[in-house]
Amino acid sequence: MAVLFFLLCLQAVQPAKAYDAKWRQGDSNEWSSTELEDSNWADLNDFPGAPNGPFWIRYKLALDAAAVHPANQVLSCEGVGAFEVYFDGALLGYSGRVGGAGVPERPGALKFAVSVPAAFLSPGEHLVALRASAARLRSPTDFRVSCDLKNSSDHFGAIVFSVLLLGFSGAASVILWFYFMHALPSGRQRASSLAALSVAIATTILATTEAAFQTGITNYTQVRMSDLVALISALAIYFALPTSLLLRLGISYKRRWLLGVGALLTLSLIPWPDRSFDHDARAFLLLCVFCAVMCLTAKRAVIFQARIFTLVFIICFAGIFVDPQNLYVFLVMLAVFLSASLVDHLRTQELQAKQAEVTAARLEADLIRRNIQPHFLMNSLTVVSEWIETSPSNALKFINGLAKEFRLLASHSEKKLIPLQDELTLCRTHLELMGMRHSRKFELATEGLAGDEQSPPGLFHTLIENAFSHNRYKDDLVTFTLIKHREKGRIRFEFRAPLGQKTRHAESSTGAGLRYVRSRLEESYSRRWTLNSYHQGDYWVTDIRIAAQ
Amino acid sequence: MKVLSIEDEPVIIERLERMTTALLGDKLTLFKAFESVDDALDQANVSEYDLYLLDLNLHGADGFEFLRTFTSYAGQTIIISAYKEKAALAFDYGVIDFVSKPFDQKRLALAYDRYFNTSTRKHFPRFLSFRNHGKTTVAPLEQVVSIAGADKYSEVTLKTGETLLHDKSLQQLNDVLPSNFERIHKSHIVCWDQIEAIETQAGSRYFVKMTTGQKLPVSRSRYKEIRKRLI
Repeated sequence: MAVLFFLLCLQAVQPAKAYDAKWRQGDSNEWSSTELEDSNWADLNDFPGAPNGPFWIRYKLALDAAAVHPANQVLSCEGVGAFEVYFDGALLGYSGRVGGAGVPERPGALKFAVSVPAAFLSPGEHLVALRASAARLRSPTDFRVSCDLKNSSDHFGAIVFSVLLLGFSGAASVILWFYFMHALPSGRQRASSLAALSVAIATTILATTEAAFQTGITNYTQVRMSDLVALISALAIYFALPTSLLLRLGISYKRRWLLGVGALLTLSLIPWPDRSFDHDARAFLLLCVFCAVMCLTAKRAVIFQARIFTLVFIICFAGIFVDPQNLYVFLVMLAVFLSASLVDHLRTQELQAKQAEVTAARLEADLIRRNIQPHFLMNSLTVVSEWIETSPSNALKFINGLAKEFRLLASHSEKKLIPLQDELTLCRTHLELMGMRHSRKFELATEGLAGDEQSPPGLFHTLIENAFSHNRYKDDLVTFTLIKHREKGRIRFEFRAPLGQKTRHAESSTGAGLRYVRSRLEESYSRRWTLNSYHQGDYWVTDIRIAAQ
Repeated sequence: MKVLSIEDEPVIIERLERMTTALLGDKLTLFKAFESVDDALDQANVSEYDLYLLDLNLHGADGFEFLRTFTSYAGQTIIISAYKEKAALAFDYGVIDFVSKPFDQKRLALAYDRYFNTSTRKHFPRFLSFRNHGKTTVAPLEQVVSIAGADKYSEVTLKTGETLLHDKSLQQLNDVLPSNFERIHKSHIVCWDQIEAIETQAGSRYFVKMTTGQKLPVSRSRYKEIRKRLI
């Protein structure tokens, strides 16, 4: 979708149609005459800009029999400044008020049309003369003028099309903003989001400018702004298209590819022998080849998608190569394809988000369920029963500890991340309870913690539970250790659980504890984590590494 | 009476010992507890005990495995566990009761009552476990044709003709077997379904002929009742 709007913006950078027209500084009513000898007038292509006072433009309009249509014919004009339009010496209409001696200029609409009476239309050569002023023009490149004979319905159809594009652009801006806000929290989408944001801003400005033109308000600043926005937009599409493909297809060496885009743009400045390929056509032909090659390097997992992209780029290349005028048709086709692809991408994201919600709910339930599992809960209740009868103070202490553990679990279970200190409190509460039950002391030592770390809830608590499930501790003091290692670009936690006495009748592990730990890590640090669990000396070590975002 | 407890929670061991002492009184000659099956098997002569109080979940130990092991010993087994859903499996292997945690003295008293009073038992095994050279094997009860007393042990004959030695005495097995097993003689138990015929021989000697071809004596005191039931 974003690319479509880049393309719409791009249309605005097309130069005004070059006419074989002449111009002259000054003012005279006779300069509209068909009899006037104007061979000594300057070429309009050499228009210097910032003309002082009124000036005239004249050019010949050749009409063949086919061009003379019986329906209403108009001169469809576009120009910066104020204009009076003469056809074969007769004043047909005007836009704004041409400035002159003692008369201030009032700029007209950028696009306007004047009716040409049927009596004026005949096959042969006709003269179009424009009396004009452009007092506030700062640069000759800002000046644009054109007058074409058109069927009036074509002229108004073009305006309607412009209005539709305008409305479409406005809606697109809203969608782009939505997409930006939607993708903002995800680091992976940040580049796409920034591209989308820049397009949204550019499109908004362009839409505002166009709206000003369409409503007949014109000023010179808006023309400059329009050109600037169009240039920025064209550059944006040039980088956003490959960037979105890089992200979408997960292609490696992103920086190198993007540097390649810059080189491509520079290369497109070199003219080709065939002059029909202007800069835009050259740039986009090169871009098509570049993107097609880039798609071919995509990973296997997305190879089908990448091949479709490649095919589309090849079709676009062929279309533009056959006729550079097809540039916009094929790029719009490409834009539609990419927008459909983006919609698919958003749907996938939505689905993933829903799945993540389900996973979060399941993990929340898991955390609570694991603590009301029969072995822990029923044994705890049996111990409490005994102490109620034999040692009420112990029973009270144990019940308080149990309540604290359940409260902590309940408050943590629905969070994705909690302060590590809270997780350690949960672990130590659990160890205290297990210590009371087993008449031993269990403790958790830490090394290298800064105090501001975060952790998914129940991560280390689960590892401690796992240790109790698979080991029989006989020592009076059993110490678990959590070590944080400082490593470049990642956080590494090493959890060491002492090995107790093994049973010969050991049941194979169901792996439910580690499954929970892995699910929590995936939920909180999508694909940025690794977990290794192994035996080392007298310990069972769980090594968790989390890459920085 | 000697009671062996296997339980990994010291406080629960204390509870079991306290209540057992209160319930059995003078009948209790020894209460020994271990925190693991391995410790019990290594340090105690399990067959000397009359009753085993077992927890089914001990530090990841395979409850099913040691359930088979302990029911193959001479003593009877009562399970004391948090996993009530494992009760059916436990009864299939011939445990005489399944006490769910948490439990009180009243519930433990009921379990001991089921130990002493066989008529109060509601569940019967579907399998018999046998130990042979350190390995435990299991035979479905429907495969058993007859059981003969052999000193402190029992010889179980299967439909296949195979004979397996069980640690439990004939009386101890009789206490756990369902009603389709009948003690026909002081030294023999048979499965009703496997009796082919009843024979009388000279000198008022009675026999049942089993489907396997075995000919087993019937005591005079039981003959009339057995004949009536068969005919």
